[in-house]
Amino acid sequence: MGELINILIIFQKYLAVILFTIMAFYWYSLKSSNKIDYAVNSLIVSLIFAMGFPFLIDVIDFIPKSLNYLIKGVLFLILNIGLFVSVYISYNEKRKERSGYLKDITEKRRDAPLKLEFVREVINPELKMIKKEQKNILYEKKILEKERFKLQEERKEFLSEREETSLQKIDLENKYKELKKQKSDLIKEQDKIDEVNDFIENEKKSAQNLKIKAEKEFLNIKEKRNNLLILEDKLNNEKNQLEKRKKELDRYKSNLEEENENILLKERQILELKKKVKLTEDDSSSLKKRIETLQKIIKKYNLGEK
Amino acid sequence: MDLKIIYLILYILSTLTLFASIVYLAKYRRFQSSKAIDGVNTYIFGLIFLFIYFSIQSLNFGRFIIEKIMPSYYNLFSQYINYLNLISSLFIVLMIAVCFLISVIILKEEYT
Repeated sequence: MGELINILIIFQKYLAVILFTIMAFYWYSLKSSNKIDYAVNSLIVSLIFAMGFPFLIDVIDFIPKSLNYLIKGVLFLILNIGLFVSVYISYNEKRKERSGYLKDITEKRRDAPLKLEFVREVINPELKMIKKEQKNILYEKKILEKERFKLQEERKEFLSEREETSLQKIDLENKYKELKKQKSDLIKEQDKIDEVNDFIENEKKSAQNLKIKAEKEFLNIKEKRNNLLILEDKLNNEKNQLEKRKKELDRYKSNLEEENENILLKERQILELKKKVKLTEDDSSSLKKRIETLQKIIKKYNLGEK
Repeated sequence: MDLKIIYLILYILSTLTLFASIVYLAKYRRFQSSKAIDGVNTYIFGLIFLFIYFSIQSLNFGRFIIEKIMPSYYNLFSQYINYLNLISSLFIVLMIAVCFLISVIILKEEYT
């Protein structure tokens, strides 16, 4: 980094010297062409541009550094003092010269040569210019007058047109009022229509609701009808079954009746048998009694024999 | 040490005289012709850069005063002056040369 900066410094020194040299050649060529006017003090400019030359010493390596600084310092000081002195002197000279001119011009004496020259060189051409300007202004004034007249005529036309337009405006305003009234009526009618529309929409909504309800009920009824049909089928089935059972029961009944008859017959038979049994029992009891009596008789006979 | 004092005096005097010259040059502009005024402004600008260069050089050669008066600040001051020296040798001298060259070019264009 340090080496790079050193290289840059050396490069910059050479570049500055080249620029100062180019500047010197330019200035020399300009000065020798004698085209610079009196107002530019060439000594001052030369001294200013000479300030670049002490920088040339920086580039010269064989001069010791301490001597280099000294030469540069001395040269700068001489150039600056010279510049200051020359600027100061020429400024004072110019100031005095200018104030002298101003005094001569403002002097009350009429035949003062500078005043006369000033009048001849400066005031007269200015006066000529002013006269020319005056003529131009007068010419333009005439043109402006013509234009003014035209403008006045146009203004009259404009005023008449304005009156017409104001009348038209009143008509338009009346029409506007009528239209406004019509508009308000229309708005009222529109409001009514809106109300009716609202009512219709409400009715529509209620009708839709009713329709939805009816559809729902229809569906319910349909379902119920289906259920009833199913139930009817079931009932028919049950009825058929019951009829079958009834027939079976009738059969049973007939069978039962037959059996009842049989039972009755058998009961009768039983009763008859019971009667017979009773009779037989009675017979047996009488027989038993006879047997007993016989046994008693036998016993009596047996005791008697002993 | 003696040489440093001489350098310092030389540069301080140069700075002061240059400052006075710039002031009088600025006043002197009203006597210049309108053709030359741009060139004059440019070389005054170059002289302002030169004034900055002289000021930095004066500070550079006046280091020994700081060393004596405020030794604790010497290192800081020295570092600051080294940076200023670097900037002046890299840019300010180049700017002086460029300003002077542009001034001459403007004057030449105006008068030819």
